[in-house]
Amino acid sequence: MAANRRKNQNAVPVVAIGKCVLAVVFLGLVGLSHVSLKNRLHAGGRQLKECEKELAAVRVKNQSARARLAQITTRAALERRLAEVGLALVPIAPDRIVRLDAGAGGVIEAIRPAANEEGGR
Amino acid sequence: MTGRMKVRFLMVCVAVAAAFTVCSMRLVQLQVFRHDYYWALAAQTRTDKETIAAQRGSIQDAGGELLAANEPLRTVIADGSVIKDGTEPALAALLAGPLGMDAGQLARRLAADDPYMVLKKGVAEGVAEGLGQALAAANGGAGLRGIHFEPAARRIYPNGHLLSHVLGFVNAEGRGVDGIERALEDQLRGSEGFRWIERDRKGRELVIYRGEGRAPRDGNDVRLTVDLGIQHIVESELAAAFAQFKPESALVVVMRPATGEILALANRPDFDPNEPGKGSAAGMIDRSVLLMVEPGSTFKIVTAAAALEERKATLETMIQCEGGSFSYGGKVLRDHHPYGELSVEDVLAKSSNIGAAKLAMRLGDLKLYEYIRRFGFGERTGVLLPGEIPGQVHPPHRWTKISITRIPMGHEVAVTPIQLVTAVGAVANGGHLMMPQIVKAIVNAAGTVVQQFPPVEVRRVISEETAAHIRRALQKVVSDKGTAALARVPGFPVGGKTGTAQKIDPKGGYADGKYVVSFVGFLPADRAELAILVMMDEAQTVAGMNYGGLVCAPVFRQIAERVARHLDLVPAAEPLPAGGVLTKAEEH
Repeated sequence: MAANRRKNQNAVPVVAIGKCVLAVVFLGLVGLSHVSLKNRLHAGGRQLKECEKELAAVRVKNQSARARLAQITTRAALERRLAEVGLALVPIAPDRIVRLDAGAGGVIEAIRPAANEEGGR
Repeated sequence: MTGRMKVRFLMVCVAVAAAFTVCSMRLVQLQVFRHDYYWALAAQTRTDKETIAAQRGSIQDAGGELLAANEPLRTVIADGSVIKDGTEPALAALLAGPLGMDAGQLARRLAADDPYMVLKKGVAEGVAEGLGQALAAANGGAGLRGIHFEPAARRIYPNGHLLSHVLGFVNAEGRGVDGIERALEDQLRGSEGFRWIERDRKGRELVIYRGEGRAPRDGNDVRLTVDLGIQHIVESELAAAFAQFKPESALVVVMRPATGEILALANRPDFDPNEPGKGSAAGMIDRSVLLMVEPGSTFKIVTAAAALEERKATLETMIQCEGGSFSYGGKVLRDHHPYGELSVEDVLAKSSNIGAAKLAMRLGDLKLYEYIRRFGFGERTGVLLPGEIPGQVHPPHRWTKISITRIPMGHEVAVTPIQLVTAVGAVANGGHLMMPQIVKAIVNAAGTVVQQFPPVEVRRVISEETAAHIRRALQKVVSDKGTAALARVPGFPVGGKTGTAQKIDPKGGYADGKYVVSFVGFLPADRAELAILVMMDEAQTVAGMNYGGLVCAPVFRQIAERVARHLDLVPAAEPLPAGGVLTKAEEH
């Protein structure tokens, strides 16, 4: 009895230690996960910020291109360009225009190729 | 332990307890009582309210061509506290060329420790981007620090002077000062957004701690009724006329009579809205709504329409024109040419002052006044252009004895050009006075129409029958028998009326040799698509030639002819192809 009691008293409390270790490991993992998730959140945030910057830059470029396009396609600019390249464009004289009379019921439809009518359906 | 030691020990305990109590009280004070203050202080150092700018809406013509837009620019900033000693010359050499600055002066500026030095404003986006890349690649790839580019923007008007009075311009803060920019400021401006952000110790945003915010709302786009193609035609013809006649001012308004839409509006002198500071005060005035002139003979349209509507006369009614001199109220009224009896149609065609006066006398002052007001004179038209004035039409109890003979020929009343073209538009469209429209629609950033401006009929002024009769008479004005033969447009029946009004002398009476000449017409006369007003103030011509029919009618013709082509209006008398008949080869 005494020997058994001594033996029991000296036995390593494996279950208790195991529980402690598990608790510590669990807490450690929770902590590490927390840090890892935080890091990933920060990294995601940085990526989001970068994307926002890129988007803003693209918007600015788009707007810049739109403004430039508007400037070089004004009638005055196009006329200057026409003069530069020397294209002698002249308006079509009224006597060179032939108008097809559509008639009251829009008969002009009839001269359209049949394929177009099929395609329109 | 002796009693003395116990006392000492007790004293130490009390002292320690007191110290802890004081510390605790202080902590309670800081954490509880002054919590809000220190919380705000801490938040202030790490949180920031970031403003997100909204884009100002664009202005477009009826076809969607850009008339006013935003151009992104950059402001180049140098941070002297970051620039390393010795790198200033390299930085200056890199920046000087693209920024158009002197390298030596730039290097001296960069040597200062100022953390915020504005080196250049209004740098194009492409230039800034190139500089950014060059700075990153400089110094053997290590880059040069201390230069950054702040976003900025400016309002641009790609067409320069074109339509400047309608568009207006914005001030340095980007707020509309004149024109549509001012009239629709609330629509164009949009609203800024914001968000609360937190920063780390390096000043970078901690995105995961982003707080509440509000997205910016970009300004709405404004789509005008103006057709840029027609505007270009009008501007080029007006510029040619302005160069030829050198008037003090000139203007053209083109309107669609059926709807009241303004298709073009041009003034001379004008200004460049890109550089409004360089414009003259006279050049900034939109005379279409701000000029108050005696209309002269164009006003006879109102008199004749009123007489016909009230059945006081028909087009065939003969009026005795007294051989060119009519004495009434102690004053003599004269015609330009002596006429005997003229039909009402000829009173308009020949522009007889005496004939118009006698028509008005048949009407009576109250009826004449009523029709003047019904045609929209003496009140604002409501067009969305800032500063419109109502003109001046005195009520009959303020008329003099001779007013009944002077008002019918466009004296003693003051009208704006927009009122005049709107009134003539009412005759052209069958008697409906339409509100002039300059804005077609307001469209949001997503492209959805948020507001449309459908045609608004103010009132019916005259019957369809009366309008048809007046149109017939006005067609005779634009014939060999009328005063505006030079306004004829090949292929189209044209109606119109000339006006030649002596200018008022500021000292009293009328100024000798100073005239405001005009022509207002419409085409095709039977189903008008266009109403056009051409007006010039003090045109420089040879003596005896300063008449609306000689100065403004040819300008009208040039504009009408080109605009009819632009709109593909089908001529009534179709010109035959060259040779008259199609050959077999041409048919195929």
